Amino acid sequence: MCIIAGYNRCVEIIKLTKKNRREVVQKMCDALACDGLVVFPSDTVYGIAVNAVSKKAVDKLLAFKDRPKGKAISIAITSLEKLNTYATINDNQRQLIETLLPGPFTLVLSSLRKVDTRLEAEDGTIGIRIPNNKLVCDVTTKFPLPFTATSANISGKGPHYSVKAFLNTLSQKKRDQLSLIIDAGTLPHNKPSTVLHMAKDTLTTVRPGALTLKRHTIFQSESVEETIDIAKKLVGRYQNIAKKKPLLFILKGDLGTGKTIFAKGVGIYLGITETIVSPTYVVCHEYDTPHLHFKKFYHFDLYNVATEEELQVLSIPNTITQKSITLVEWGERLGSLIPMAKKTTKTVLITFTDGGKDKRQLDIFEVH
Amino acid sequence: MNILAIDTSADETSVAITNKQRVLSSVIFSQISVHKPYGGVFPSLAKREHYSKITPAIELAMKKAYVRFNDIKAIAVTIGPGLPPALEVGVSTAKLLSLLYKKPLIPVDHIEGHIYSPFVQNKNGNPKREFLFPFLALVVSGGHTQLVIVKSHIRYQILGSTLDDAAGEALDKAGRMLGLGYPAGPAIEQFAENGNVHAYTLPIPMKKLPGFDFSYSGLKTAFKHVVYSMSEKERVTHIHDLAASFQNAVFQSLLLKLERVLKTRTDIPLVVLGGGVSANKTLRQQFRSLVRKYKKQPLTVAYPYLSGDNAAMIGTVAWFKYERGIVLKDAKAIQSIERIPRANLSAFTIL
Repeated sequence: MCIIAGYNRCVEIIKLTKKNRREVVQKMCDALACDGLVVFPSDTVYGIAVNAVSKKAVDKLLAFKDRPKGKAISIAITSLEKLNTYATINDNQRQLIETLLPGPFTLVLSSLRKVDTRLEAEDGTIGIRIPNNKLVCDVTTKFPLPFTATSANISGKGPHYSVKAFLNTLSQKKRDQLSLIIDAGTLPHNKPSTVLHMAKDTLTTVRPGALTLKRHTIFQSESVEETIDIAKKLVGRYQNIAKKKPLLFILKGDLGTGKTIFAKGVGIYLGITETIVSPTYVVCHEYDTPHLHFKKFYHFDLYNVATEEELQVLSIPNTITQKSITLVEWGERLGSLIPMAKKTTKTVLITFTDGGKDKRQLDIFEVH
Repeated sequence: MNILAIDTSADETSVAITNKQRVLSSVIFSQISVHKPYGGVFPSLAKREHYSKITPAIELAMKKAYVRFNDIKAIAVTIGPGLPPALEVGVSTAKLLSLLYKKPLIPVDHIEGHIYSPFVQNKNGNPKREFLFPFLALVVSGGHTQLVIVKSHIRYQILGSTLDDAAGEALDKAGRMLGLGYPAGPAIEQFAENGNVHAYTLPIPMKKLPGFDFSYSGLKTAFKHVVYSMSEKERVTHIHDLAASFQNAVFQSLLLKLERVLKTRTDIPLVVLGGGVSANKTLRQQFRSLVRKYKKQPLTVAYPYLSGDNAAMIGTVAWFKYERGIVLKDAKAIQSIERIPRANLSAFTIL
């Protein structure tokens, strides 16, 4: 810890190490409780946290950021369960949100006005983040109130990946407004979070960030046969892309929503004569195909895969070869591998929702 | 004629020293703690990296059998079906040993192992069971559900397989819907004991369709709808009935297909049951009474460890392969052997 001398009021800068997270979490909570401005490292860029329900704290933040009125400032919360407290969501949104969070996304939802209304946008929406970062998670668990998670910059300027670079852009007056800076060194150059506007029924990307979901198509299936047809149609749609890039389908859906049925459809489209069976037990099945553009079909199932460590062993992005199609059931468990995989593949996210009996809804997103 | 056998097809790192059908030693390093069937333990893929376990397993198996490499005549290994990175460990280790010590290599299909598992004997050569060809084998495990006719040693004809999920997989997933952790099979069995099999109406899979294939995904979905329509409290109150109803539906479909074969194939004197799910007492009882009804001899494994994955059964199959010359002696041929993750009783067998 060091106190920067020569400032009118002292800003405490604390280095985050492997050993002192607990202490740092406590300091951050204390600073938030005193309505202070805290610069903290998130899973994307450095952010600024203040108590989101305290008028005084929000006053300070707005003054610091020179933020025009009516422009939303997002908040961080602990978990999906807490989401209901701050915003209205319907079941469709919930399913989508469960796919995305925690992760590099800011969701714009209709606010329930539980936080300082100046953090909301003019249309009554609020941006919510559940960062995928240990420090932030610990603070959200410990600190009983939501806090802001806006990026550490002055409005209209770029984000920062190191505390030094950020401080260099600030005037002495601005620096004095901060009460705590948590320095975790230079952060990996991840893009800021993607902002998804979900307040209306359709999903639109406001700010493209680390992951972008685009082109939202919805298919309704009433039977096994229809799910198979949807799979065939989708592979057909992307087969020209396969000449340049391998295709990766990430399948997300509960048990018994038709993921393996979908895989059967892909198999039929490719002309594979063997029966496509569930790979749950052995995790991966590999098929040769007679298809012109796809030489291989890799069928993964991560149902029994529980940890990041286990994923590393599978090294799925390395398995994917040119002219192939890969389908990953329980693919949301790929987590951090998705951004890696999307660089080398055409990545498509498909979510399966059970609509009772044989009815299923398939939502298709392209991941960019 | 001692054989060193290796099986690393899934969770278990297993090595055995066998002599014909006799098991001199068997070592199974399991990843799943047997004491925690309710703890929600996941099979750890990281632990499926058998590399750290394979050498100690081989050393221990040889020590327990009082043999050295000089006493070993051949190396047997499971080439598939199984998890590719796991199989890789066994296959590459077996190849290495085979080339290093100049021993012939015998590639074995994991399913062959389960088919032969009721014929595996202890150190003293018990039980003495006779092969009566052609016989029928029902293999039911977490990864496989198959009906196979064994025409003679190492000659197979697959009658039916699962079209989607394996029976053991379905039991496991149903168990997890009930919050029973992994592996859920034994827990389902325990709860089912005091439950009413008719408490919930579930479809018996493939009842109306002809043929000998199996399917469990429809049953799984039907069960999900039943479970999800209940409150947490109701689920707990009715867990015995839920487990019993589901387990019964799975077993009925197995027995239904088995009965179909028994009705049409009067030339079969013997029916064997193998695979992890055959550890279930209810299934074994129902299997025996059905087979006896058709005046055939039912056989299940003699020792509990033989129902799960183990190398002893691989060594036993290897002996019959060795007798029939299905061995690789040439260094080049040994080197070219690769794992076959979706092996289907067709490689290194008699067609």
